[in-house]
Amino acid sequence: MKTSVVLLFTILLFSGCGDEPKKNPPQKSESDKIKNWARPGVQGQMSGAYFVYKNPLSSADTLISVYSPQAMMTQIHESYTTEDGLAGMREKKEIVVHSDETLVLKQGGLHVMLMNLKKDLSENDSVEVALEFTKAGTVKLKLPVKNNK
Amino acid sequence: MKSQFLSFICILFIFFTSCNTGPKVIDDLSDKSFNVINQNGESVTFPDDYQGKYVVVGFIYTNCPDICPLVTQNLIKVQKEFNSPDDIQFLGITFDPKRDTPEVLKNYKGLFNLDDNFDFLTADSTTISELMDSVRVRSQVSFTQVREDDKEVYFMNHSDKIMVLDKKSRVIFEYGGSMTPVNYIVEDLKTVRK
Repeated sequence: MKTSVVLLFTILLFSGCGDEPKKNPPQKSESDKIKNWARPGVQGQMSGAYFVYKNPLSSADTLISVYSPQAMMTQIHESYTTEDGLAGMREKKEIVVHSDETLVLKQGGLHVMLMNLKKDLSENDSVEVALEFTKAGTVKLKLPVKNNK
Repeated sequence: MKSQFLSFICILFIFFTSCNTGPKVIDDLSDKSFNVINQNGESVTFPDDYQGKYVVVGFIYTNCPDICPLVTQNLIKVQKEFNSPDDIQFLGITFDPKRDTPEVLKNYKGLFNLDDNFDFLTADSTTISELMDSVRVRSQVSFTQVREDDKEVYFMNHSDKIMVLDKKSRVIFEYGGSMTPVNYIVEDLKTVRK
Protein backbone atom coordinates (compact mmCIF):
# COMPACT_ATOMS: atom_id res chain seq x y z
CA MET A 1 0.00 0.00 0.00
CA LYS A 2 2.80 2.38 0.97
CA THR A 3 4.60 1.79 -2.32
CA SER A 4 1.37 2.34 -4.23
CA VAL A 5 0.77 5.65 -2.50
CA VAL A 6 4.29 6.88 -3.31
CA LEU A 7 3.92 5.73 -6.90
CA LEU A 8 0.54 7.44 -7.27
CA PHE A 9 1.92 10.63 -5.78
CA THR A 10 4.86 10.61 -8.19
CA ILE A 11 2.61 10.02 -11.20
CA LEU A 12 0.25 12.80 -10.15
CA LEU A 13 3.13 15.18 -9.53
CA PHE A 14 4.64 14.76 -12.97
CA SER A 15 1.43 14.54 -14.97
CA GLY A 16 -0.61 17.60 -15.70
CA CYS A 17 0.26 19.79 -12.74
CA GLY A 18 1.98 22.99 -13.87
CA ASP A 19 1.49 22.31 -17.57
CA GLU A 20 1.45 25.55 -19.54
CA PRO A 21 -1.53 25.67 -21.88
CA LYS A 22 -0.37 25.09 -25.43
CA LYS A 23 -0.51 28.27 -27.43
CA ASN A 24 -1.41 28.37 -31.07
CA PRO A 25 1.10 30.01 -33.39
CA PRO A 26 0.61 33.76 -33.93
CA GLN A 27 -2.06 34.61 -36.47
CA LYS A 28 -1.09 36.60 -39.49
CA SER A 29 -2.45 40.09 -38.95
CA GLU A 30 -4.04 42.43 -41.46
CA SER A 31 -0.92 44.58 -41.28
CA ASP A 32 1.07 41.76 -42.85
CA LYS A 33 -1.31 41.61 -45.78
CA ILE A 34 -1.76 45.33 -46.45
CA LYS A 35 1.54 46.97 -47.23
CA ASN A 36 0.65 50.44 -48.45
CA TRP A 37 -1.78 52.25 -46.21
CA ALA A 38 -2.35 55.14 -43.81
CA ARG A 39 -4.06 55.18 -40.46
CA PRO A 40 -7.27 57.13 -39.83
CA GLY A 41 -6.75 60.32 -37.86
CA VAL A 42 -8.43 63.40 -36.48
CA GLN A 43 -7.77 66.94 -37.69
CA GLY A 44 -4.96 68.51 -35.67
CA GLN A 45 -3.76 65.12 -34.46
CA MET A 46 -1.27 62.52 -35.68
CA SER A 47 -1.47 59.67 -38.10
CA GLY A 48 0.97 57.15 -39.48
CA ALA A 49 1.51 55.79 -42.98
CA TYR A 50 3.25 52.67 -44.24
CA PHE A 51 4.58 51.52 -47.61
CA VAL A 52 7.15 49.40 -49.37
CA TYR A 53 9.51 50.81 -51.99
CA LYS A 54 12.03 48.85 -54.04
CA ASN A 55 15.04 50.79 -55.27
CA PRO A 56 15.05 50.18 -59.06
CA LEU A 57 18.46 51.79 -59.61
CA SER A 58 21.75 49.97 -60.03
CA SER A 59 23.25 51.96 -57.16
CA ALA A 60 22.27 52.90 -53.63
CA ASP A 61 19.84 55.74 -53.15
CA THR A 62 18.99 57.80 -50.07
CA LEU A 63 15.57 58.90 -48.86
CA ILE A 64 16.14 62.41 -47.55
CA SER A 65 12.66 63.80 -46.96
CA VAL A 66 8.97 63.07 -47.12
CA TYR A 67 6.04 65.38 -47.70
CA SER A 68 2.28 65.04 -47.56
CA PRO A 69 -0.19 67.79 -48.43
CA GLN A 70 -2.62 66.37 -45.84
CA ALA A 71 -0.36 67.14 -42.86
CA MET A 72 1.26 70.32 -41.57
CA MET A 73 4.46 68.39 -40.93
CA THR A 74 5.67 65.05 -42.26
CA GLN A 75 8.70 63.04 -41.18
CA ILE A 76 10.03 59.50 -41.23
CA HIS A 77 10.15 58.04 -37.71
CA GLU A 78 11.24 54.73 -36.28
CA SER A 79 9.69 52.91 -33.34
CA TYR A 80 12.28 51.21 -31.17
CA THR A 81 12.82 49.87 -27.67
CA THR A 82 14.92 52.08 -25.41
CA GLU A 83 17.75 50.73 -23.24
CA ASP A 84 15.44 50.70 -20.23
CA GLY A 85 12.75 48.75 -22.05
CA LEU A 86 10.35 51.53 -23.02
CA ALA A 87 8.68 51.90 -26.41
CA GLY A 88 10.22 54.93 -28.06
CA MET A 89 10.24 56.76 -31.35
CA ARG A 90 12.97 58.74 -33.12
CA GLU A 91 13.26 60.67 -36.35
CA LYS A 92 15.22 59.17 -39.23
CA LYS A 93 16.74 62.00 -41.22
CA GLU A 94 18.07 59.74 -43.97
CA ILE A 95 17.57 56.17 -45.05
CA VAL A 96 19.96 54.51 -47.48
CA VAL A 97 18.31 51.97 -49.81
CA HIS A 98 20.75 49.75 -51.66
CA SER A 99 20.27 48.67 -55.25
CA ASP A 100 17.39 46.20 -55.55
CA GLU A 101 16.76 46.54 -51.81
CA THR A 102 13.20 47.01 -50.61
CA LEU A 103 12.52 49.70 -48.04
CA VAL A 104 9.73 48.53 -45.76
CA LEU A 105 7.77 50.89 -43.55
CA LYS A 106 5.45 48.90 -41.30
CA GLN A 107 3.76 49.00 -37.90
CA GLY A 108 6.21 48.83 -35.01
CA GLY A 109 9.14 49.97 -37.18
CA LEU A 110 9.75 52.71 -39.71
CA HIS A 111 6.71 54.84 -40.47
CA VAL A 112 5.67 58.13 -41.98
CA MET A 113 4.61 60.56 -39.25
CA LEU A 114 1.77 62.74 -40.39
CA MET A 115 1.66 65.52 -37.80
CA ASN A 116 -1.08 68.09 -37.29
CA LEU A 117 -3.47 66.71 -39.88
CA LYS A 118 -5.21 69.38 -41.94
CA LYS A 119 -8.45 67.41 -41.91
CA ASP A 120 -9.85 64.13 -40.61
CA LEU A 121 -8.60 60.99 -42.35
CA SER A 122 -11.31 58.36 -42.59
CA GLU A 123 -11.53 54.95 -44.15
CA ASN A 124 -11.83 55.19 -47.96
CA ASP A 125 -9.85 58.46 -48.01
CA SER A 126 -6.32 58.38 -49.32
CA VAL A 127 -3.10 60.10 -48.35
CA GLU A 128 -0.65 61.44 -50.89
CA VAL A 129 2.98 61.09 -49.92
CA ALA A 130 5.98 62.42 -51.86
CA LEU A 131 9.30 60.74 -51.12
CA GLU A 132 12.44 62.66 -52.02
CA PHE A 133 15.43 60.51 -52.97
CA THR A 134 18.88 61.87 -53.81
CA LYS A 135 19.03 59.95 -57.11
CA ALA A 136 15.51 58.84 -58.04
CA GLY A 137 14.12 62.29 -57.26
CA THR A 138 10.51 62.55 -56.19
CA VAL A 139 8.47 59.37 -55.86
CA LYS A 140 4.75 59.93 -55.32
CA LEU A 141 2.56 57.40 -53.53
CA LYS A 142 -1.17 57.36 -52.88
CA LEU A 143 -1.93 55.39 -49.73
CA PRO A 144 -5.47 54.25 -48.91
CA VAL A 145 -6.68 55.01 -45.39
CA LYS A 146 -7.46 51.75 -43.66
CA ASN A 147 -8.83 51.03 -40.26
CA ASN A 148 -6.32 48.28 -39.90
CA LYS A 149 -7.89 46.23 -37.16
CA MET B 1 -4.09 0.62 7.32
CA LYS B 2 -6.15 3.57 8.50
CA SER B 3 -3.12 5.86 8.65
CA GLN B 4 -2.10 4.83 5.14
CA PHE B 5 -5.56 5.67 3.87
CA LEU B 6 -5.36 9.08 5.55
CA SER B 7 -1.95 9.68 3.95
CA PHE B 8 -3.44 8.86 0.56
CA ILE B 9 -6.28 11.33 1.10
CA CYS B 10 -3.83 14.03 2.22
CA ILE B 11 -1.69 13.56 -0.89
CA LEU B 12 -4.73 13.82 -3.13
CA PHE B 13 -5.85 16.97 -1.29
CA ILE B 14 -2.40 18.60 -1.65
CA PHE B 15 -2.27 17.66 -5.33
CA PHE B 16 -5.64 19.11 -6.25
CA THR B 17 -5.34 22.26 -4.16
CA SER B 18 -1.90 23.06 -5.54
CA CYS B 19 -2.85 22.43 -9.15
CA ASN B 20 -6.13 24.32 -9.38
CA THR B 21 -5.28 27.70 -7.95
CA GLY B 22 -5.74 29.52 -11.27
CA PRO B 23 -3.33 32.09 -12.64
CA LYS B 24 -0.85 33.73 -10.32
CA VAL B 25 -1.93 37.14 -9.02
CA ILE B 26 0.61 39.70 -10.22
CA ASP B 27 -0.87 42.74 -8.46
CA ASP B 28 -3.94 43.20 -6.31
CA LEU B 29 -5.69 46.44 -7.23
CA SER B 30 -8.81 45.74 -5.18
CA ASP B 31 -7.68 48.13 -2.45
CA LYS B 32 -6.96 50.92 -4.96
CA SER B 33 -9.46 53.47 -6.15
CA PHE B 34 -8.92 56.12 -8.82
CA ASN B 35 -11.41 58.77 -9.86
CA VAL B 36 -11.16 58.97 -13.62
CA ILE B 37 -13.29 60.20 -16.54
CA ASN B 38 -14.31 58.29 -19.64
CA GLN B 39 -14.48 59.60 -23.21
CA ASN B 40 -18.03 60.80 -22.61
CA GLY B 41 -17.00 62.94 -19.64
CA GLU B 42 -18.62 60.53 -17.18
CA SER B 43 -16.99 59.90 -13.80
CA VAL B 44 -15.68 56.40 -13.30
CA THR B 45 -13.93 54.80 -10.35
CA PHE B 46 -11.18 52.46 -11.48
CA PRO B 47 -11.07 49.57 -10.84
CA ASP B 48 -14.09 49.48 -8.47
CA ASP B 49 -16.70 50.11 -11.16
CA TYR B 50 -15.53 47.09 -13.10
CA GLN B 51 -15.51 44.55 -10.28
CA GLY B 52 -17.40 41.44 -11.32
CA LYS B 53 -15.96 41.60 -14.84
CA TYR B 54 -12.69 40.67 -16.41
CA VAL B 55 -10.97 43.87 -17.52
CA VAL B 56 -8.53 44.01 -20.42
CA VAL B 57 -6.54 47.24 -20.22
CA GLY B 58 -4.11 48.84 -22.65
CA PHE B 59 -2.05 51.95 -21.92
CA ILE B 60 -1.83 54.56 -24.65
CA TYR B 61 -1.50 58.20 -25.65
CA THR B 62 -3.37 59.42 -28.69
CA ASN B 63 -0.50 61.41 -30.19
CA CYS B 64 1.37 58.15 -30.67
CA PRO B 65 0.90 57.13 -34.31
CA ASP B 66 2.47 53.68 -34.35
CA ILE B 67 2.80 51.63 -31.14
CA CYS B 68 -0.32 52.80 -29.28
CA PRO B 69 -2.71 52.13 -32.19
CA LEU B 70 -1.22 48.63 -32.30
CA VAL B 71 -2.09 48.23 -28.60
CA THR B 72 -5.63 49.46 -29.28
CA GLN B 73 -5.96 47.16 -32.30
CA ASN B 74 -4.91 44.20 -30.18
CA LEU B 75 -7.61 45.02 -27.63
CA ILE B 76 -10.17 45.27 -30.45
CA LYS B 77 -9.10 41.91 -31.86
CA VAL B 78 -9.56 40.29 -28.45
CA GLN B 79 -12.99 41.92 -28.14
CA LYS B 80 -13.99 40.59 -31.55
CA GLU B 81 -12.80 37.09 -30.68
CA PHE B 82 -15.24 37.05 -27.79
CA ASN B 83 -17.98 38.82 -29.74
CA SER B 84 -18.19 41.75 -27.29
CA PRO B 85 -19.02 39.71 -24.18
CA ASP B 86 -20.84 41.21 -21.20
CA ASP B 87 -18.35 39.86 -18.67
CA ILE B 88 -15.27 41.45 -20.22
CA GLN B 89 -14.64 45.19 -20.17
CA PHE B 90 -12.04 46.73 -22.47
CA LEU B 91 -10.19 49.90 -21.44
CA GLY B 92 -7.59 52.19 -22.92
CA ILE B 93 -6.05 54.40 -20.24
CA THR B 94 -3.96 57.38 -21.29
CA PHE B 95 -0.70 58.33 -19.61
CA ASP B 96 -0.83 61.74 -21.33
CA PRO B 97 -3.76 63.46 -19.55
CA LYS B 98 -2.51 66.93 -20.48
CA ARG B 99 -3.49 66.37 -24.13
CA ASP B 100 -5.84 63.40 -23.90
CA THR B 101 -9.00 65.11 -22.69
CA PRO B 102 -12.34 63.25 -22.79
CA GLU B 103 -13.12 64.97 -26.09
CA VAL B 104 -9.82 63.84 -27.64
CA LEU B 105 -10.43 60.31 -26.38
CA LYS B 106 -13.94 60.36 -27.82
CA ASN B 107 -12.51 61.27 -31.23
CA TYR B 108 -9.88 58.56 -30.84
CA LYS B 109 -12.54 55.99 -30.00
CA GLY B 110 -14.53 57.15 -33.03
CA LEU B 111 -11.62 56.23 -35.32
CA PHE B 112 -12.00 52.59 -34.38
CA ASN B 113 -15.84 52.29 -34.40
CA LEU B 114 -15.86 50.60 -31.00
CA ASP B 115 -18.64 49.00 -28.99
CA ASP B 116 -20.00 50.22 -25.66
CA ASN B 117 -17.90 47.91 -23.53
CA PHE B 118 -14.73 49.63 -24.73
CA ASP B 119 -13.91 52.84 -22.88
CA PHE B 120 -11.01 55.24 -22.81
CA LEU B 121 -10.10 56.81 -19.48
CA THR B 122 -8.25 59.93 -18.41
CA ALA B 123 -7.99 62.00 -15.22
CA ASP B 124 -5.99 64.83 -13.71
CA SER B 125 -2.22 64.45 -13.93
CA THR B 126 -1.79 63.47 -10.27
CA THR B 127 -4.38 60.70 -10.46
CA ILE B 128 -2.97 59.35 -13.71
CA SER B 129 0.51 59.40 -12.24
CA GLU B 130 -0.65 57.42 -9.18
CA LEU B 131 -2.63 55.00 -11.34
CA MET B 132 0.34 54.37 -13.65
CA ASP B 133 2.63 53.83 -10.65
CA SER B 134 0.22 51.24 -9.25
CA VAL B 135 0.30 49.23 -12.49
CA ARG B 136 4.00 49.84 -13.14
CA VAL B 137 3.51 51.73 -16.38
CA ARG B 138 6.26 54.24 -17.05
CA SER B 139 6.21 57.19 -19.44
CA GLN B 140 8.44 60.17 -20.05
CA VAL B 141 8.69 62.92 -22.65
CA SER B 142 11.34 61.82 -25.13
CA PHE B 143 11.62 64.81 -27.43
CA THR B 144 9.71 67.85 -28.62
CA GLN B 145 9.38 69.36 -32.04
CA VAL B 146 8.16 72.74 -33.20
CA ARG B 147 5.47 72.44 -35.83
CA GLU B 148 5.08 74.74 -38.81
CA ASP B 149 2.44 76.67 -36.86
CA ASP B 150 5.06 77.29 -34.13
CA LYS B 151 3.30 75.01 -31.67
CA GLU B 152 5.40 72.56 -29.74
CA VAL B 153 4.52 68.90 -29.88
CA TYR B 154 6.10 66.31 -27.62
CA PHE B 155 6.51 62.56 -27.94
CA MET B 156 6.83 60.01 -25.19
CA ASN B 157 8.76 56.88 -24.36
CA HIS B 158 6.45 54.53 -22.53
CA SER B 159 5.77 51.04 -21.30
CA ASP B 160 4.16 48.88 -23.95
CA LYS B 161 1.60 46.95 -21.95
CA ILE B 162 -1.74 45.17 -21.90
CA MET B 163 -2.95 43.61 -18.68
CA VAL B 164 -5.94 41.54 -17.59
CA LEU B 165 -7.73 42.00 -14.27
CA ASP B 166 -9.89 39.26 -12.84
CA LYS B 167 -13.35 39.84 -11.40
CA LYS B 168 -11.80 40.86 -8.07
CA SER B 169 -9.64 43.58 -9.64
CA ARG B 170 -6.46 41.55 -9.41
CA VAL B 171 -3.92 41.69 -12.24
CA ILE B 172 -3.58 38.13 -13.47
CA PHE B 173 -1.93 38.55 -16.89
CA GLU B 174 0.46 41.06 -18.40
CA TYR B 175 1.65 41.21 -22.00
CA GLY B 176 3.74 43.34 -24.32
CA GLY B 177 0.92 45.52 -25.61
CA SER B 178 1.84 45.92 -29.26
CA MET B 179 3.77 42.76 -29.98
CA THR B 180 1.90 39.96 -28.22
CA PRO B 181 -0.02 37.66 -30.59
CA VAL B 182 -3.69 38.24 -29.84
CA ASN B 183 -4.47 34.54 -29.55
CA TYR B 184 -2.21 34.33 -26.48
CA ILE B 185 -4.48 36.81 -24.68
CA VAL B 186 -7.60 35.10 -25.99
CA GLU B 187 -6.46 31.68 -24.79
CA ASP B 188 -5.58 33.01 -21.33
CA LEU B 189 -9.00 34.64 -21.04
CA LYS B 190 -10.74 31.48 -22.20
CA THR B 191 -8.87 29.52 -19.55
CA VAL B 192 -9.91 31.75 -16.65
CA ARG B 193 -13.52 32.15 -17.87
CA LYS B 194 -14.11 28.38 -17.83
